[in-house]
Amino acid sequence: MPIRYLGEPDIDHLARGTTLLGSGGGGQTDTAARLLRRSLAGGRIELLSSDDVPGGHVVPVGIVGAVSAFTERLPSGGEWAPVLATIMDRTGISPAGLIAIEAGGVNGIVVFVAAVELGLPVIDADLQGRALPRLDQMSVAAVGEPLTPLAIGDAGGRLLMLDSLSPQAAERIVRSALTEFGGWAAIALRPLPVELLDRLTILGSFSRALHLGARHAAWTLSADPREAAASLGARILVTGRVIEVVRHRAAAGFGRGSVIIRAGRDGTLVRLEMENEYLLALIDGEPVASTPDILCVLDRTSGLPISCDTVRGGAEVVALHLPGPPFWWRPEAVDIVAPRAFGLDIDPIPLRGAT
Amino acid sequence: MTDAPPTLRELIGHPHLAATPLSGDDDLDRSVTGITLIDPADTGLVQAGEIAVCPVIPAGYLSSWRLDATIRRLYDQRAAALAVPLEGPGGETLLDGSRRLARHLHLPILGISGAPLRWAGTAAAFVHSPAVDAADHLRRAHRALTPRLLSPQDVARALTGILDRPVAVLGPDGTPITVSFELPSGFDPHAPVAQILTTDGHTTVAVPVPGTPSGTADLWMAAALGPAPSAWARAVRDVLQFATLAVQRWQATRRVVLERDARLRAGLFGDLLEGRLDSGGTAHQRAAEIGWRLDGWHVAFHIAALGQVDLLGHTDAVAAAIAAEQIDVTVVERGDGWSAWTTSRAEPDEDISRDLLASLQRIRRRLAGRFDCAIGVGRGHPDTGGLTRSLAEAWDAARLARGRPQTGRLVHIDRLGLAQLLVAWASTETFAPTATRLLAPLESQPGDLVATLSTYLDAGGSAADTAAILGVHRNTVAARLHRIEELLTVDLNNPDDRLALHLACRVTLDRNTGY
Repeated sequence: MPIRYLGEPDIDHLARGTTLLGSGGGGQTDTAARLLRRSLAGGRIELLSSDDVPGGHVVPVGIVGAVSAFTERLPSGGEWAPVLATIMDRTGISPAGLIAIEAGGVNGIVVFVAAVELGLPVIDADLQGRALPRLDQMSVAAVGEPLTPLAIGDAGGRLLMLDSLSPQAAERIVRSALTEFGGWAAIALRPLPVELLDRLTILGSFSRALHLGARHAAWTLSADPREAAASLGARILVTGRVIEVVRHRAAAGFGRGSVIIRAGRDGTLVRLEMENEYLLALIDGEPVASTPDILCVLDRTSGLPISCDTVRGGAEVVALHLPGPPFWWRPEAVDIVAPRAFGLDIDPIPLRGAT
Repeated sequence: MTDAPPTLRELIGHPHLAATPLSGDDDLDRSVTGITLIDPADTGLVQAGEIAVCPVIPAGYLSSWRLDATIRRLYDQRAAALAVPLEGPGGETLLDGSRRLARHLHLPILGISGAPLRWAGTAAAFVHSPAVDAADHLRRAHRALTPRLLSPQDVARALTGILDRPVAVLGPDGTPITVSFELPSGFDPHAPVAQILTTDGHTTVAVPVPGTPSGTADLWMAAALGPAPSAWARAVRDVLQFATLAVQRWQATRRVVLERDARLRAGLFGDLLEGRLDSGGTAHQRAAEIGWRLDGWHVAFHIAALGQVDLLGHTDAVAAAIAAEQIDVTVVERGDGWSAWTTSRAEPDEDISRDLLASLQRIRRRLAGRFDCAIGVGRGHPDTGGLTRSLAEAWDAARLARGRPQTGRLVHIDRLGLAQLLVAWASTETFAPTATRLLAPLESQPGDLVATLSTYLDAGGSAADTAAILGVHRNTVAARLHRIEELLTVDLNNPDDRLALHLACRVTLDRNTGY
């Protein structure tokens, strides 16, 4: 198989695709895309399938923290070298490539920024297959493997390394440490053996993102939304106007919220429950789709995705339901990303017709 | 008796089942067949037509997607409505989106402000056995109305509390007596039976208080229920009917008191009219004891009831009608009506008497719903003797007023000429028939002999003037006068005969022209 590269012409599709996989979360990708464009400076990054890598280990990298903070204080270069060095030092492993911790949103782009910085190829796989808010929601954790040793750090030399901690403990410690890093930090996790990637990771995430991005780029003003949705492999939940957005400020965890969309045609009411991502959809009170499947809200005319942070009353939108990564539908994995993992007391709802 | 089940709108019209429709006013006209308690997270069975009551809700439930899911489930089960506490534990209320969903699916949401379990129990009891609820209200009415004597207004107040709806006492024609209360247009005051009237979904119950044996209503008790289940309306009817017993009891007791007082007053009043209430005498003292004011300037008036009227039964109403005009008077039953007088330190002037006349005209209108009456007013005179005189004048003026619809059956003695007064005296039952008899022989004769005689006497005995006034020849007048003398066997040159004939003519002609 010929080696694939990701170059500047692919960035637009990459940004669109990772945004869709964000399910309304994962952060605004436009800034990250500009950053990547500048980092590449006309160059390109190898995007390897797991089969292309003969052996050895790959290191999961990305950022953790508030994406808004990331946008305000962009990487200045040199964020990933210290955390990668820490992991290499700790494990004695020299990586054959990088793997994204999260393909949805900003992290789907940041992995390439890190690859430029570190001079390593990127594997066409990730640990989430979409956007998810927590470290313990990594595929590696779902199959019972440790995330540690992990390291977070920044270009200024601040560094935190954790080892022999459960994913939940790592999540708690990292989350509470982030303020000391200015809201976000570069992260590197325990290296993964290449031969186990098909068990530990979600393969083909970037192929999917680039495919979605290409189809999405073809979404024109005059296109029939149904055909456009079908080309994305999605189904339309509703086409209508956002009539109410409620954000509940939770005492703990991330803020929850609800978006209510009224169908223009027959007054059908669609309610989306959201945290960092859109998590659950109800049509006229009947639950019809939920995490781990992907829910997107797009501007009805431009087709541009509208994130949970920016959705506002009055917007004319199309809400889409995309199948989530099959990995998360595995019985041993599904509980980690099911609605109950987000405090929504309901079983996950498989896509109709799916098994 | 089995009923159609109440509608949602009627059910929440019951005072114990008040609830706020949170999803708008539509879709409330569906039947309710039962009440079921549900758990917010439960997916249990609710029968079609039942109200699903969610008595306990977790914090955040009202604004959560769970509520939407519950609405959907109840819609699928064809429930009548969802009832939830009006506010959640944190004081949160429904999202607009949930209200819209309820409207979209036509599944009303009721907000209950009190204890939801209690509401559910009461609602279930009412839907399944309304007779229990009715019996409970009757029992409470019985407890409130039996221990002591209550005036009709107090009965209405007590029932307002028990029924939690406005209850009023109304006059025989349905006009409210104290508080404002509007009966619907369908109300028929001439049908003395309990009436349950529903107009535009609002129910009013009116029950007559039986009065005279002829079956007409003395008073009405009425309750405005708003939207109400028919079983509740019938329960209210039963409560009101029970309350009429209390009103009748009050009326009977009051009547005994009035009659006792009336006897005392009648005796004193007889003394007063005959001038026996000299100051210092025992009668004078007793009059003072019952509050009669005998010193100062008095203006008396007499209200004469026209037709057959039970005077004692209306004394309270007359006193109330006078009191409503802010006139401070003493009222006494007298003959065909009531005499009353006002007393002031100074001699009443023209303004005061004009005000009094205007007030009396209003009093007459006020009493018109009960009976028609004529009112006569005497002049102002000082002290006990003056009172006797003013009362006599008022009595005479009232007699005149009876025949004077053009003055509104209200006559002030001041406005009368002495001649009219004389005629008025002559118009008494003793003289008038005699006068008619005296002139009777002229009635059947050709030529207008009574008019000719009357004109002749009015013209001072001048046949020429009479001929001019009547437009006939003076010989005709002379011939008629001659015939009159023959028919009546009188001598028109005799002053006594002339006087008698003149009075008789005046009385007869006045009667014929409607005086």
